[in-house]
Amino acid sequence: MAFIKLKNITYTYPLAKEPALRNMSCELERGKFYGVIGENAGGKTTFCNLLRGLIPHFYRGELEGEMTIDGQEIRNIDVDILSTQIGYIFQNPFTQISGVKKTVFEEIALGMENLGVPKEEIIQQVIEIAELVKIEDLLQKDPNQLSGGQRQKVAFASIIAMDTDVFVIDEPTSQLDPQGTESIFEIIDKLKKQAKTIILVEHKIDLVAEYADELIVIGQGEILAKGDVHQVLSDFSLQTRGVMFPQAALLSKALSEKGFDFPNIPVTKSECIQMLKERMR
Amino acid sequence: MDYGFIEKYNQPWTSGNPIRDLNPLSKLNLMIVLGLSPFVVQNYVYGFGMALLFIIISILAGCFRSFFSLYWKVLLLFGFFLFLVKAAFSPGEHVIFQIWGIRVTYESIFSGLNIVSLVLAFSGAFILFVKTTPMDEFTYMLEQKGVSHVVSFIILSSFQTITDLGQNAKIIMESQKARGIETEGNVFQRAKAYLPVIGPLILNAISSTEEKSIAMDARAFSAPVKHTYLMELPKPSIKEKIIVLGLDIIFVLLLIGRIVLWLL
Repeated sequence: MAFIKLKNITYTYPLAKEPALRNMSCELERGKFYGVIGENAGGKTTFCNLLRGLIPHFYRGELEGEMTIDGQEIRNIDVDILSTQIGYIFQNPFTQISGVKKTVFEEIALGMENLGVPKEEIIQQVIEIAELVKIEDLLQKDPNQLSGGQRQKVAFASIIAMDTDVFVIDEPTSQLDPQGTESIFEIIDKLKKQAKTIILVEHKIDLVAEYADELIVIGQGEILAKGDVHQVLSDFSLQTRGVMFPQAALLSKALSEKGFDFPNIPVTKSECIQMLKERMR
Repeated sequence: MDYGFIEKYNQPWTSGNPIRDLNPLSKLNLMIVLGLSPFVVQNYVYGFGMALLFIIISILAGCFRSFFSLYWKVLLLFGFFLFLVKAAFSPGEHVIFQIWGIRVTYESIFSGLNIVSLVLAFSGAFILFVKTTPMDEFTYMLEQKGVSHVVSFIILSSFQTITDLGQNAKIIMESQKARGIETEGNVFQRAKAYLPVIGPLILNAISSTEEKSIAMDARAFSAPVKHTYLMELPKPSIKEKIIVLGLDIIFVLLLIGRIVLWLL
């Protein structure tokens, strides 16, 4: 059963002439990992703000259509309660640090303090999350003095520590090196295995293709495609709409053009290698 | 990884300094009583005595350097300026000298000393309170007394905003400098470089307020549950309570005495 339902959603920011989201309809199920991809300024962050209830409760503007989260109409939902159910990691880590805590340890603990988690559990959870995100060496540092990449990891840790059922994650690796990016995806994969619902906006399509269950392609405020990763990434016409494709899919396309056909379009490196091995037998 | 520092969260937070470890609300109480008492006593010797007392307390609290680095500016900017204005223009009968409409009298000098002592005593109490009381400890105690966590967040983030504004101003000035704009030199050159920065600085502060409120919402700040706290402060000792209460009583007596004298 769908957890989040959007029906003909159109949203225009205050004072904006054009809508940021146009006629969006889709359903998101619990326990699935959705990768949200698409060109820059296409409406992905606005989509995240909508899923988290910041639209229409924080960003006023004009919202048309119907949307429900767990059966409740978004306009009538209590955002304070929603904040305990949906964790939101922003695109910009510099704005996600509270600025009122003296150490990273306290910064990660803040969300749990607000949720009324007992102190002993908070301390245990902060240690576990810090080890998971590999930021143990930052715990005693001042969050306001961290670099962009460090802040991104701390912001990520702070939200996943709250252990909500749903995570909306907007470009969590924009300031990270390849190693840091890989480890963030591994954590997201662990969350997925804990049956958490994940909606991840990300440009690193090779990683998204590897971990996500479904893809939602957004461009110019519209949902251009939605479905199984293989199904969406088989449609190369999306390249003309600014959608990046995984290296594996591009390689298979190039080889197909040279007459080297694949039974399916591979979307991950391992799938590609497997198919090449089978084809060359 | 050594998690020894986590032990701090399992027990009441103390610094080891008896002045700093006073309960934040006791410090607030003392600040008000000691800072306002010169206004009641109306004697500049008492006022300067209080200022001296605050300097001594700052030494004992181990924060003399940070206290005095701010206090001397108050002394210079407000104290000295106020004294000059009062000494030059307050009325009096016993003239010491006069020139171009400026008339310095014994009375005006005493009036100047009086006002300076009041400013120094109150600002000294306030600066000492800020320097010896971490704001998170203060807001924690306020919340323990039933103040809304929204109010405590506003206090905390306001103090943080002051720091952020300073840092942002520095960043903008450095980027101006990188573009070849002269940011150093005499007062006029500095003002010329600084004035165009004020607009973006304020706009930036406004937009960061919006972002911060969303960030706090993401941390379930307004979740309809009773918040818990990592922080725990020691309960004020009997001795501390007696000192605070004693000073409060003295202050009330002084106040009553002043009112009686005023009525007579």
